Amino acid sequence: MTNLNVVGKSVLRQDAYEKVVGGKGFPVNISLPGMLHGKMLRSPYPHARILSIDTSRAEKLPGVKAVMTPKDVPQIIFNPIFFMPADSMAIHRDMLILSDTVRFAGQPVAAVAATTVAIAEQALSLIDVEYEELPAVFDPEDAMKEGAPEIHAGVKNNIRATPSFGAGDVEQGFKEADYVFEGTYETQRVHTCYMEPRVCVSDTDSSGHVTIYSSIAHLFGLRERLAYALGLPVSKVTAIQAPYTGGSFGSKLDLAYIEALSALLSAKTKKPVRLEHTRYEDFICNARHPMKVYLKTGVKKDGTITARYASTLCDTSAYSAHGPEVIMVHAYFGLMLGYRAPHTKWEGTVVYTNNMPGGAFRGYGAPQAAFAVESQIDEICEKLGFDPIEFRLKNTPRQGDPHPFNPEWKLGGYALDQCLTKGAERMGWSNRAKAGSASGTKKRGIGMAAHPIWVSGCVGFPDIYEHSGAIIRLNVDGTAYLSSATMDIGSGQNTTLCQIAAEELGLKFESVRMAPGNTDNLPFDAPTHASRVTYSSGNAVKVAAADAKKNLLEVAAIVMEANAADLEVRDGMITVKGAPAKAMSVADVVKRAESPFMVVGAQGPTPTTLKEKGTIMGISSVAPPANASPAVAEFVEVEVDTETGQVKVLRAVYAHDLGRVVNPAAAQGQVEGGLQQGIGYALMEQMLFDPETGACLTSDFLDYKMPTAVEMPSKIECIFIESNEPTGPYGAKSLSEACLIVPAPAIANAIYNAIGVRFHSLPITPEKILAALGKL
Amino acid sequence: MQEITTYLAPRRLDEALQAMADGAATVLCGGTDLAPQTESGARQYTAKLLNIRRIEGLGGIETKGDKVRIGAVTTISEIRCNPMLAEIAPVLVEAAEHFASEQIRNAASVGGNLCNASPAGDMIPPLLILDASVELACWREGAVQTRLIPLEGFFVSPGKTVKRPEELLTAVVFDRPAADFVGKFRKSGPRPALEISTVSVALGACIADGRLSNVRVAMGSVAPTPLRARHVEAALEGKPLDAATWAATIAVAVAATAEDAKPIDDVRASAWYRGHLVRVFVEEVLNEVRGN
Repeated sequence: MTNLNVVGKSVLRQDAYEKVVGGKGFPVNISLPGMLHGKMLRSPYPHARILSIDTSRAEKLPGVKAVMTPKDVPQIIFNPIFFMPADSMAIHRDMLILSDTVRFAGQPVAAVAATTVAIAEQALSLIDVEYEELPAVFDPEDAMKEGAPEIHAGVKNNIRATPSFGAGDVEQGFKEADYVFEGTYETQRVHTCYMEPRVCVSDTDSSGHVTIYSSIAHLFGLRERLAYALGLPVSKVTAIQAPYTGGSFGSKLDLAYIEALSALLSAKTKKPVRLEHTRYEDFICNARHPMKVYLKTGVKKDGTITARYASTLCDTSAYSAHGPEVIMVHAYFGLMLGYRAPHTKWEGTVVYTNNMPGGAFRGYGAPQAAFAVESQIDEICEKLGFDPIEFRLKNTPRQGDPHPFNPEWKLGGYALDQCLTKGAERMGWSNRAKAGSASGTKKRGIGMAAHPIWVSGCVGFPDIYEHSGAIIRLNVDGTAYLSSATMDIGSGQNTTLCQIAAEELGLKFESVRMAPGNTDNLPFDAPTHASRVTYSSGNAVKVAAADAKKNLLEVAAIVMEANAADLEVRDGMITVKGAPAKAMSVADVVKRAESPFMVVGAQGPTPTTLKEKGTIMGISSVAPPANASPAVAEFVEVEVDTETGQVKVLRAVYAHDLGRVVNPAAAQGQVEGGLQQGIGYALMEQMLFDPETGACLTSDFLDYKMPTAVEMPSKIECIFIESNEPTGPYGAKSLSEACLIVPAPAIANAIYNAIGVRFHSLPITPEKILAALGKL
Repeated sequence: MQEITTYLAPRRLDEALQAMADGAATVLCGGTDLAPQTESGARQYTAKLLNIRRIEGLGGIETKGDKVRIGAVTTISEIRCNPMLAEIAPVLVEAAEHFASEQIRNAASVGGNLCNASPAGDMIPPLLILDASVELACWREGAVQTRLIPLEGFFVSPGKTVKRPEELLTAVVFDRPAADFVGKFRKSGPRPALEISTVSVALGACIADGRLSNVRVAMGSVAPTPLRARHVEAALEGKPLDAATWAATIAVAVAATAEDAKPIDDVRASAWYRGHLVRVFVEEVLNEVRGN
């Protein structure tokens, strides 16, 4: 593994320049001839029944081509999540494309297609809707009370699901403990704030076949879910792969209203129809689930954890969507698997409210959990006088241990211990002062958080797709095309996969190009989510490349009159091992394989000597054999202004065992982006709603505060620990989500170290800090 | 929705004033407030869009005798980078430093910031403590007529000023500050960059013979309009800077903020937090002024 040519290098992204000059490949730039523009009318009420809709005035407006109301759309109940089968037993189907019942403020009730956006908007104002307002409930605890408004018929107390699990005897475990700690930790609703809006163009032909371009993170999921909601077989939907998507962070993993409506409006008008979210519409299309976590931990005098009990209340909002799934990932991979405890129990409650829909967001339930777990460990260590690094080392798994989720897997390459010790050393952890001992009005503190067990994809998760496919084709100029339905959502997936293909094929990186396709001609692929692409899609690409290379060398063996087993490829040249003078370029071999059976030469037409003719290619459709866990520890230094309550993150040290680093620059980018989202989650980001109407008050970037470059620490130090993961391509594991799981608790712990005050709810705003300091 | 049917970009002031004499033109300069307001529907374009950016003589920063004049279309970046202002009115440069982002500073004009009349307008508190006036021009009886309005009397309510629809703000003018005048500015929000002020405070005073005089204090985002904090000013006027009484002076000034600042709760901050920040900022700027 030491002789890698392409993997491990910070190669330049192939689409970098193209994106900088405007990004023709972004779905937002798709335009088809004769295209119409759609807009959705949204309910001002959070809970209402539609009594009547009069579209006659809108239909008369010149330029309006179609108006759609609930009676015009298939009344097929669906769940929008892309990555689970549409008919899965594990999810709840409770949504309609357009419904007579409104369950959140902003739910679409009608749609228009017109020749311009302005006309479509004007038409919306001409649709008369008569609503019967229903009582609404926004607080999940209120929603569970007797007498609360019923949001979905027959769902008692609005409780959608009550999952639970455990091991051992948790009561016994607490009896064995010398100390018991408990606390409740609350997190807020935040939005991913991807750059490219959700946007799509549908073109439905006269036979009813839908072709759709959309800004999404899962090509095959879009095909399956759109077909399901429209009542079509999947073969009647073609989803076209965009070369790249302008960000997702999880938000583009479910069917949007615009996708179904554009397909229907296109069918009705016989024209392509484009719908694009405004930023307000993006804000209210999905968000991270707010959760309230109660966590109780039993600890022995020597620092061994004996038992853990937790319960989680999750506001799944107006529709079930991700709620019942996100709470399971939250419980297993966020709360319970990371730290060893012989006795555990967890109970979850997923509740409907009249809030905007919840969705997937980088970390999928784990940031909410880590805020509880990592804050409480800090509290335990503070109280019992343990060093937080030592405490974690004592209670976490080691390389070679069985994987806590599935003991049939091993933690093959796993170096959490090094993440903790190397990160601590770099941060100067041993110089950390006692909590609250800083003097002056601006107080500095150091804190850390870890996340021992996380995922590289979804192998082992019930009802979640995980297999990937790839097609590699070699060209007569010695280059290769790589086709995969993996979506590049901005983190460099295409580049990483091309690096793996180039490495396996023995080509230069520049010789491999991503060739986008569509659901008609690509093998299935799971979404770009769950930190899975390098490990899982990378595995499929490596298998396809190995297949192509085998076919290449079989042809080369004939042409070069050598044994295929004796051949090797490097930088596009095929040589015989031990006889470097005998060489032939990949281009020449492919040319021979692609040549006609008769070739005209100086002597006239002559049959070519090569019998094995045809395109040299390789294909795969596979899932990895396991689900390798990355490991992470993050250390931050903050400065708290005790006069204004402002917190500055001065420095961050991030130590991550991600197995082999395929592209160090892209990896560093993941860390920096995760820290930025983590600072937002910890300190300022928060979606706010009118308590009476449920209307979103933070639906633009004036009122929804994300950190900018100015709020980022000037020093972000990455320590990448490259354990060699036996099940990953070239030893690689995952990175992305962990980068956002740890910052909030690390910052909260650093704030504690600075001012001696513990916060149990996010975001830790200046007002909360001043109130806690007694200045309120 | 109103369609724009006429777009004008005159080079001469009298042409512009004639074009807006019917009081029905939408005035465009940097567009950094106009564009988002029309986009969100908070404001409608009128049929006539009048770009004033190209009018000769409407930009520039100059001194004439004791008067300083900043043309209405001067950008925030121009203020930020102006060496003369850095010398005679550094508080304006300081406020420009904290104004939005580089791109917005390059487009936004000082005149636009005043006419937008946001309680959070960043250039307003520092101009208030410079005791600035605004020059309003209109076309009447076949000639350009101008009047000068003290900035303090310019604002009526959020988004509203005493400027009449046919009038154009052409410049902001103020007396060159005395050599012993010191001015300071503070603003804050949940994040330091690209922020609408949660509150802003500007404080200026002359320092002579160990005493404060001509004290002027202005605040933003604590009332429907930016305001001069007369109670705080009165508490500070003539006060000595000596160590023995300084803490008591600050305490009185900080207490007086409650008389001037009447903030509200909104999405960006609670009334309590705004009131607190005003107290913190007044104390901070007073200490800085004393340190000068």
